[in-house]
Amino acid sequence: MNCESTIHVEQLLGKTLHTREASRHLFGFVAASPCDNIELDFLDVDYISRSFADEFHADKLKLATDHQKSIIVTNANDEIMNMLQSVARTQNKQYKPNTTKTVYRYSNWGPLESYLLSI
Amino acid sequence: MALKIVIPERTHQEFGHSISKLLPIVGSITSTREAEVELDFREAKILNPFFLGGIASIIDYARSRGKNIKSNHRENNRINSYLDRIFFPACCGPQRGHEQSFFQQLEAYQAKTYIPMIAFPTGSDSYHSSIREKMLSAISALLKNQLNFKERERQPLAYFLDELTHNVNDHSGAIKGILFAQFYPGSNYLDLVICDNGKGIYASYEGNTRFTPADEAEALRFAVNGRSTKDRPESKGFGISTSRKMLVNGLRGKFFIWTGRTSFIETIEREDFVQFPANLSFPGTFIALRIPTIIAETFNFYDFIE
Repeated sequence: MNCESTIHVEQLLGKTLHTREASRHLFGFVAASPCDNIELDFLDVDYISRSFADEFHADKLKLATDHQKSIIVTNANDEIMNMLQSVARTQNKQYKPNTTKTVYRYSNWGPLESYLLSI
Repeated sequence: MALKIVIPERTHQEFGHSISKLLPIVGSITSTREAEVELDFREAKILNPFFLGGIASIIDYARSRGKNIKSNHRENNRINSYLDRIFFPACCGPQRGHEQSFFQQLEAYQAKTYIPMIAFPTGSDSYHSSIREKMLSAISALLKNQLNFKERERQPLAYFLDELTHNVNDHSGAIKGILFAQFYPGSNYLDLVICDNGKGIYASYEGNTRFTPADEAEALRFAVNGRSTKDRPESKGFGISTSRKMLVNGLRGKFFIWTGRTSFIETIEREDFVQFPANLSFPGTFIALRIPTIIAETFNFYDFIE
């Protein structure tokens, strides 16, 4: 339906959002809305975690693909904006694990203890 | 006959010292065939969170396997009140139907330099995720007050708490994790331990079609380099890798992870994978962080977010 609705994130989830499940919960409400344009109002939300932001990004893309709904984020503070942007920026980053690192193996306690005490 | 284990008088300030004291005790408890284990705290005076968190976790593990673990820590007046206040070894946590009393209990720690040992529940249903959400929020706020942190200083701490507890929830298969922290104002650092008695990192890659580590060491290498144990295309598994990079390269802290008999240690000076003797195996995953509380002006939290 071509209409716009607003979800107040702080009222729904609280001031700090730490988990992936919180994003899924939020997008459950978004998906249930009959409107195509959803405003997510982050007024009074102080903090989102990287996990929340990562899940938010994935959920947002899925929503656009599966339900053709668009999301507008409003009243997000600088930290929330920075977190969302940082996570979005690095979504396709390829990781090269350092496979050249040696594994040091200890079979006796004495040398291992010396090693640990040197840290 | 019971296995008797003498708890050391103290763990020293050096990062590896408390770990070196923890290892042989974990090994003794996990490998003993005795049905009863006695932990002798008579000499104990000062014990670090890495040591106490690990001991609490291994006591819980052994009890879950039917061992009778006895401890005489209440008979030692030098340390018993501290151990009681931190809820050693049973830990505290929200009980269903009485969640509010747990959160009220946390308020009593506002003026302390430590938080109690907290057993946080895992589970992705709405009840468990909302409880974890509230707990992380409360712990983060509590530590912020204790450390007198500004928002900029709180960010990395909240990040470590979030990412590492999420790892326990998402990958360990454990029904709970343990979280414990102590601030050392004279030395300007916070020691934080997060551990679980779950399946460990190697087993958490089982069934993963994207990453198939050949052994425990390779599994840990994958984990510390950001290869997710989750078999989902969108999953990134950056929790451990970004946490250690932020802690060591950004804050100049120290990082230790131990799963099975394999560990990874990172400081400014070193980055080592270390395999312990076969009898020194941690059932699950144990992570210790030494977090400096004086943060350089040049530190930018977002440089480490991926």
